[in-house]
Amino acid sequence: MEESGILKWRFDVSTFRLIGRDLITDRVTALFELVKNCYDANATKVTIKFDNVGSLDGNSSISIADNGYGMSFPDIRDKWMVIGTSNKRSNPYTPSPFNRKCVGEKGIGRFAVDKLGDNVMIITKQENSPQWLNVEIDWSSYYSQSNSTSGQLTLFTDVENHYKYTKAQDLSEHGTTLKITTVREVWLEDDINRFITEASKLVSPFTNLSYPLTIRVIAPEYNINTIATKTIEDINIATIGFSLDFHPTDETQDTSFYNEETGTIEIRTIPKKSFGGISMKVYYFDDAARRRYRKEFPNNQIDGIKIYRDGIITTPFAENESEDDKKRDVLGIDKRLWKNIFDRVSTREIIGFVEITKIGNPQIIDATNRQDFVDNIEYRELKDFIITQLDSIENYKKHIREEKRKKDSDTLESAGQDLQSFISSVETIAKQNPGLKDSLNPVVEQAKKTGRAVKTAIRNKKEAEKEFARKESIYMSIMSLQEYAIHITHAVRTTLNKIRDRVEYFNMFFPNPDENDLFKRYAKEMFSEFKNANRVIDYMLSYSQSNIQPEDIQLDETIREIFDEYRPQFECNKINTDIVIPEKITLRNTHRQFFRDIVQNILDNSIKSLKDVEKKIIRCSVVSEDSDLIIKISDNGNGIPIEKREWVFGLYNTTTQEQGGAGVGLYIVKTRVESLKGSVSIVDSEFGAVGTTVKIILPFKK
Amino acid sequence: MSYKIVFIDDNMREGLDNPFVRSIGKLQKDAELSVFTDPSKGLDFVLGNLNSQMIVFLDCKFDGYGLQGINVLKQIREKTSLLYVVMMSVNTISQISGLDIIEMINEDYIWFFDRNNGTFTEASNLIDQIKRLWRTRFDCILEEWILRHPEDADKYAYREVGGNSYTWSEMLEQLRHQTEVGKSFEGMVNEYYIYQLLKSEESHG
Repeated sequence: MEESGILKWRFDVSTFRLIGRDLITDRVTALFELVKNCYDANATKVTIKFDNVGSLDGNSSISIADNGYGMSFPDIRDKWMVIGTSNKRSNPYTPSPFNRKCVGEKGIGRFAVDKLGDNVMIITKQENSPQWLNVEIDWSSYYSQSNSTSGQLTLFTDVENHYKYTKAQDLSEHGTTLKITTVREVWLEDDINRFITEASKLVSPFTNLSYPLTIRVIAPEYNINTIATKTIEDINIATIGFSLDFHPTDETQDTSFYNEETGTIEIRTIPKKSFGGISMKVYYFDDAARRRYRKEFPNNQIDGIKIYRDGIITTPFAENESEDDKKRDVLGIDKRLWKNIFDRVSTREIIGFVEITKIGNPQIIDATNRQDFVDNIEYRELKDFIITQLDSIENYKKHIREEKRKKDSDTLESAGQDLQSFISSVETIAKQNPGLKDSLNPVVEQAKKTGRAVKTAIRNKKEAEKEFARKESIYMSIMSLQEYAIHITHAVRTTLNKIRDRVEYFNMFFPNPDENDLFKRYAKEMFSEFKNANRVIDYMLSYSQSNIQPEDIQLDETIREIFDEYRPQFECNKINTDIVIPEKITLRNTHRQFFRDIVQNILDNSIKSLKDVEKKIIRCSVVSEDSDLIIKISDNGNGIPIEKREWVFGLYNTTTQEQGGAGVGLYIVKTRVESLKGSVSIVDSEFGAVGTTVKIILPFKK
Repeated sequence: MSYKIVFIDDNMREGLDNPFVRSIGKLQKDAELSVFTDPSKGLDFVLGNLNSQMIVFLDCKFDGYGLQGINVLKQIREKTSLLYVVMMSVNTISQISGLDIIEMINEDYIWFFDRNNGTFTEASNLIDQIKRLWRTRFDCILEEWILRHPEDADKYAYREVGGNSYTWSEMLEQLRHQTEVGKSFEGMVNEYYIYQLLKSEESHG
């Protein structure tokens, strides 16, 4: 014997099969793994055909045919046929433009094939390849060789597999077909149905928008010819959803809103936005729906809103992060500070698609670093628009939360009443049948005890609700205080700086006969800045006044009172007024001064905007609609451009600067209305093409 | 040499009559001034005049506008890193978001002017500081040369091996946009002068 030499590991066929059996427990799983590979190969169609699998008469076969990107000869030689290629994927996403998240386990396919049958033919072709590659692998011959009586151990690595090429009819064809023959185990109709159920879970239609995968299952012997994959229309597991479209004929865009009366999300149209027309689908999943979703589609997650351009996902920067926590919330859905903290929807609760196009949305531009879109006004507006759409879902959530709270209370209350009537019926029975008294007494006692517990529960629940409401309102006021402090300090600073700049100018350049007019102007401006600063400070102090006690106010009386106070100004400016308040309305528990601030500031603005108008009118109308009080104050003055309707409510933003507008009034209006839990907006003018209508909605109980 | 000073600040509604702008105009007589209250209009102006020497005074916070100072800065920087931007704020530095500060620090040719405490003279000194830089910067020297010798503008400055050719005025644009060609040309010219100076020193010595 040689003193030294080398020894090599050897690997026989049965070991290979042993490993495979440990990896894959049953045939449904094995087949499912093969379909996963089709998905990972960017296939859009997979057809699985079972032939004679019920009887296994020798002609049995299962074929899995896909139109994925196919395999090249080196792919087969260096990957498919090498056991032990790394199980780690270098890229967890499939090639673009599909960018699918891979679902298959790498390296398991060949074991899966072995599990299903003894012989497999791999027929595969990549796009533009002139021929199909056919590889035949016959496990049964390995097996018989390894069990041969010659005593010679057949090594797995010595087995020869034959391949040949066949000419392709069409260069553009691509895909892979695995044709498994000599099927190892019987497939009954139930087994195939079980596979169909599994296959339907492969990928959620919600995450499968650009390149959906269709899995067709055919089994002639059981009369099965069906599509296993589901479409959004097939399943109805989202709690609520809506879809928005753009209408090119009249250039209008759908937008959603929550209708409190009907308790549903509804759609209305608005003029086309700066970013162009979009279509959008949003689905919201509550707790139960999220559980259902996880069960139906274990491979996919509920993960917010994605943007597709011309059908292709444009937010791969968000998608290509395998760790959820690292995903960038590019739309800022989860970053909204203080917004509706209790009813805010997060990306874990919604699935949405926004569809944009190259032609229709040219200003939404991919950033060069592929991390986001180019930050321009149009993209900001698009983000705002998308986030605004979540408002309707947030309002829906709020509504459901309140309904549930009410329903819970009602159930508890009625349980209490039911118990009470139960006790009295039992007591009546006991009275009528004194013989039963002894045995009924413990029942009555027990029921009374439970009744007391129910009463305590009702009381506790009510207290908890009160406590919750109190905390909610404290939280809200802290938040608004913070926002308010930021605004006010900025405002005071800006005013001080304006004054400081003018003082400095005087200091450096005064006197100068050429600039006398300018110096006068600066002096006047300083004076008006002082007035502004005082107004802001007064407003600030008004919050600390001890006399802000909630009180009931007579609406028409108060409005007429304010208009009367303005009478001299109206007369001097030749302004006609019109007050339309058809009924006596009492606003309960409100702040008189706040209400006066609102009306006065709007009137001040109207007077300024009417300066250059011939026939001047200011109109105030009030209507009550269910739980809303709608106050509209309109003038036929200069008007506010549509794009500035929100902007004018910002501090120091004004469209009446020439008339001395400082941009404080509407800011006060907005903050006052909000502190009365209402909302204010500029709407289309009641006077048509001219003027401004300010619409205030206050909560109200008749 | 004339140059542009652009103010982008939503509080400068008086335009050229704004005391800050007027003072700068008086202290920097050769400057051509423009004022924008709308950040996107200011940005359009800046991007449309990239071939001029320009200093931009840019406010950080715009109330009621989508675009904020830092976004304008980013968009300017996408086109050129040569422009001089003076960020202004009435807020203290500590009130500006950390990320925005990092972005500002990591940029070249950026200054910060504190609108609360900074005086007109200090702002003007900042401009002088920038102008001193202009006198030594390659692109500025080239620009001045072309102004003085317009006949040289269309002469060839540089030919890439097997690639494009650039005239002096085209090269100026490459420098302003900080392209690969512009940067490598600047490097080569600097090296050439060091070499020439050393050689002339040798021949003299």
